Amino acid sequence: MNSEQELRDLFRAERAVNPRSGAVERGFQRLSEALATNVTPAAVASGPLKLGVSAIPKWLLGGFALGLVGASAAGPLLTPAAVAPSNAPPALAAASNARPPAARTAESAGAGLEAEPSGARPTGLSAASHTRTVPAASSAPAASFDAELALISLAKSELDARRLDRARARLGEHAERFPQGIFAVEREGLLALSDCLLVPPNVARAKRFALQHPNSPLLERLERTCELQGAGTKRLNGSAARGERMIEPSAGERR
Amino acid sequence: MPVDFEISTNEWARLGELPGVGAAVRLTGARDRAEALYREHFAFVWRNARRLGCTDEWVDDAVHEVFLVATRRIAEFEARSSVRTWLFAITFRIVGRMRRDRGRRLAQVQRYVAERPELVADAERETEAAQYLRQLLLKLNEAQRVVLILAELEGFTSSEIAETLGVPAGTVDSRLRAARLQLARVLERDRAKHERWRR
Repeated sequence: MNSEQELRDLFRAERAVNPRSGAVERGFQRLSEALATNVTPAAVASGPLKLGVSAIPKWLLGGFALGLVGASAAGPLLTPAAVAPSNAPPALAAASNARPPAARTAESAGAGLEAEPSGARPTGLSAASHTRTVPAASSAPAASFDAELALISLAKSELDARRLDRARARLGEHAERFPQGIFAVEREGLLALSDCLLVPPNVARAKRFALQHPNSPLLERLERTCELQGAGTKRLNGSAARGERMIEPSAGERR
Repeated sequence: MPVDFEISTNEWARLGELPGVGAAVRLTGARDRAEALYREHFAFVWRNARRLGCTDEWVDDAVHEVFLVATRRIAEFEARSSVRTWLFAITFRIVGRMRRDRGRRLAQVQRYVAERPELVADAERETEAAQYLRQLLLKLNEAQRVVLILAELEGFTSSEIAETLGVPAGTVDSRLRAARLQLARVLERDRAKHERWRR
């Protein structure tokens, strides 16, 4: 028997398998008891499976994004022409117009969203839960990731070209659509950078960013830019720049 | 004696309108609607939980969890998809989670032990061939396994599978071709291995 025929037979055998009669009654009895006692169900998503995309861990996507946005070597890749022209193609435009995941309601957000933590789930569903806002997915769907990356990349390109208004518009759009997105930190960094490029420069946000994200790859560029714009020689996060003393001179030294 | 429970909400009202619960349209009351969903799709969920890797020891628990999720989260069901694709997606995630997380599985088993589940929905017309196929399926990657199960065993159309997976129908077709080839390869390999053992 060839393997094709054998597989057909195997499929046929499996198709014929069913649970024994009576299993439904016993199973439903068990479900009824669980529902009656308000057993909390597992927190799983119920939307499309997105196999092969959602399997990529978020930390990996985040790491990739961090490198892509933060590394100056990636500059050529992030030019408007390379990423997405300002007259964005339909796919990107459609992605840009998508509603933010966080704003979607339970009514329309079945697809691809993780359930809220089981502890936070109300035991009885109410009519109000129809319109309640559900939290964004813990693993960002690929479409959101792409849309986020495109927005941040465009913002960076605009910033590189010193088109501050357009850069800030992109960042504002990102903040509105993905307030807790994978690139939220990059957004803050780029906003801080744009503040430093203003005339006169405003370094308050950059200082805050440096304190909050001392290991961000954006920090070096931020420091360079902000210092060039007159932010002073002190490093933004309070640490010493190369060749600079960290501590104040002692009283003896001052003398 | 049936246990009564209270889910007196609009979510349950919607159950009667679901395409896959046609037989239950005239039923009223939360319990009847839940039962209609359960009866109509129990075998579907049970079969596919096993195909996705449930063993007999915990297939009941997985099925139970799937319906617990489904009944509680009916509000999230978007009627533009069919109940079966929705239930399959939940089954896939529940089984995957239970398979991955042994600790969690044990905790769930303990919970179910406390609930005194005495049922074991063992199989009718189970053959060695069927068991063997499920073993072979587990040697495929998840994406291939899912398209094969849905296409070959459940008779889903490409567009239904596409809806379940959230991918274009063309992707489904190419995955299905690849999955069939891979399954044939796995079978050949397995056969060759057994031949060697017999010699």
